[in-house]
Amino acid sequence: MQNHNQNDIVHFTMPKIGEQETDIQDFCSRSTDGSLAAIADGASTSLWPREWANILVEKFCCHNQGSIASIHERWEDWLHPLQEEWRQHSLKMKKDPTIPWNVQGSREKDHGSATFVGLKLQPPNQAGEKIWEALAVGDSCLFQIKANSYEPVAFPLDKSEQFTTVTNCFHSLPEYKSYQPAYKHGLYEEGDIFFLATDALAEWILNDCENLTDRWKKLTSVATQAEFTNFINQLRDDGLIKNDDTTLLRLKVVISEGNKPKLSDQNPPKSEPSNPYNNPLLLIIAGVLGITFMIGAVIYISNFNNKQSYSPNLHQNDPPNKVTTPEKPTPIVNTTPTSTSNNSNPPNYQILPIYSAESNNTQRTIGFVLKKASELESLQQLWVHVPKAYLEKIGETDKFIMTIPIDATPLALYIDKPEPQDLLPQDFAGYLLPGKYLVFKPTESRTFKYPRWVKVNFRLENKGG
Amino acid sequence: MSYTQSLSSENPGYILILIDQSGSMSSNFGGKSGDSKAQECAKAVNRVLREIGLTCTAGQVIKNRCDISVLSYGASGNQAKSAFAGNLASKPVVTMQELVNNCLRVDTVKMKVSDGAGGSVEVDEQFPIWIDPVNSGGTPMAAAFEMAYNLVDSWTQNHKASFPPIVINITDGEPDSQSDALSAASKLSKLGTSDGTTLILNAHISAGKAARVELPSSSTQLPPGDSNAKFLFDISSELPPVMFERAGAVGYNNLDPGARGFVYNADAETMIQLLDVGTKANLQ
Repeated sequence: MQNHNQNDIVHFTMPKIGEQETDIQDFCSRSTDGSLAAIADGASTSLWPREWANILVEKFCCHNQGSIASIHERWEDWLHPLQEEWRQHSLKMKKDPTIPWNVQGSREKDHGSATFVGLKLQPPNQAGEKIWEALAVGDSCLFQIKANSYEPVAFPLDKSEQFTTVTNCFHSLPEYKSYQPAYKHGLYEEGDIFFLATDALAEWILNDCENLTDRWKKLTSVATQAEFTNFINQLRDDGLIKNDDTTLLRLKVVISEGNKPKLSDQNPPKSEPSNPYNNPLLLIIAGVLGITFMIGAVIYISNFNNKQSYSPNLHQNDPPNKVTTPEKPTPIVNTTPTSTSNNSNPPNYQILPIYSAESNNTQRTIGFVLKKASELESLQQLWVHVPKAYLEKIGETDKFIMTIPIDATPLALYIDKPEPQDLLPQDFAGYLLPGKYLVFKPTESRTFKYPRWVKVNFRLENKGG
Repeated sequence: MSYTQSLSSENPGYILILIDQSGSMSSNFGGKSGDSKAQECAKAVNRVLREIGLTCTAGQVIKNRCDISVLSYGASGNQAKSAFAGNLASKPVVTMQELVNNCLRVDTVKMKVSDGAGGSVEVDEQFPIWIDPVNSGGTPMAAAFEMAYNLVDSWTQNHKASFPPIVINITDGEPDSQSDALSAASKLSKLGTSDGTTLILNAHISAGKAARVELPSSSTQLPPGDSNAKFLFDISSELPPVMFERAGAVGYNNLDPGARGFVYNADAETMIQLLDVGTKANLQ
């Protein structure tokens, strides 16, 4: 088949906590021309799941004839030779007396099971349409992120609540009836991104979308295995993702020059790019004339974080003001986080930089606060809600080094109250910037499993230093 | 929400099997095997252990997703004791790798499997043995629950985030004192981890001829007039949602809400398949 694109395909994987890479039951594969990609997750309680998952993805990515729709129509015929290949492996193992009883399986545990998603990007057809097709069974998922959009389309599951500890699978013996795979197709364009993710990651991505947290977007740019590992470890520390083998295959569509349509041939876009800023739950701060784009972006992103932490207390009755589609993120917002004031009268917030209190000599800005200086005058500390992984205890002392990485979601600051559980949404004070901080005695969060509350020393420019 | 932690190498589970080796176990089992209750009981323990070992093996790798104890009561006077022999004799709690690698022997049974080309191939099905049948003395079930209490207490101190311990009691349900056993079981069921309190499951190996009963939700589903079955049902825990969910995947499609971890003259190893030791494939 003609190579019709130069798709950029990468994959990352990591085992459950406490297990080795060699224990991972997830497999992925791609065809050499980059038009086919597949991922499979072997059920660890089944027999030789790695072998079965491997056969599934390898065979799918070798199948480069015709369409995936034809596989879907005769999926059992397609599966059969794969099952016979696994059976021969199984018989070889069963006849080998040196293989221990637990590896041999039993009368009941005599077959492997795996979830599966396979993707094919068809070359442009005569009408110039570029069609993708996918086949899936179980809870491994495909996500399509259209270029210029941040609303992934998920398949075959599209809600986090659909994930359970039991899943539909392809079984490695025809004696067991496998579940019929689902089929989907759509259009793709240059710049589209596809994720193929096994269940833990897929469930988290959907959950993240549902919560409007948007941390999943980081996955569009993760470049190295180390970066992926750090990202997943952070989610695990935050208690947001299940402890499971976690695998991502990412395909970015790159059309080779010869296949790019001429300008005169280009079809109008199939749909308007969705606007990430018209979200009805978009929270609202800032709105101060002269605010820099940078600060605005930080505040915008951070508000999701703030919103998530405090959603039980937030009043959602007042419909948020819709923002007309901006070409750039220029958050124009006109109410406070608590929405207690009249929306038509924006409060006159000040954006104040705050400085490190650890050394009077430093002029390092450590964050920005949205309170009046008079509201902060009596304060020397602010609460910050921080993932446990950012905290490192210093020896036998009660001091900790808090490291906020440069790519972290901004951390919200709250005014100092005796206990974090006393905090209210209106106590939101601003954001802390990435850096290293010396902090004391983290307080366990009562809401989240892994984050901690710590106090950060700060000073305003007029408070000495 | 409780009972959401899966059994993993990071947060292993703990399964304690209590095996009744009392004199009353010498009489015939009511099921079809023709064996004594003691033989049936040992078979049940070995099958449960085998099932756990199979479940914790992925490919060639044994995953330490579960710690194991087996306590016997009856044959050792008024006390319970660890029933492990051989290399495990000195260890009341063993890891999965220790369990799998240290059975007493492996029995084999010939089995035919399909060769995929219309014929069949004969292979050995292997049955590891850890426990041999014993029957003598009284039935100090309360002492077994008390020993389990001490082991669970100690284990939970070191595994606070794990799925709570699972106690599987395999017995003919004739304790020396039902009230003592009831109160010891009740005390044990209050211990737990941050993920929930200890689950007590019972496998009733009975001389009765009634049809097998699996995971009943009401005592009306038990053999009529069988006070031993009623007693064991009463001390059995209700299945938490994760076990209820997985029951569907192993063929229990019509369980009633409130189903309890109790089986009567039925395979005890089924209850192992209800534990979340990793992704379970749906069968249809």
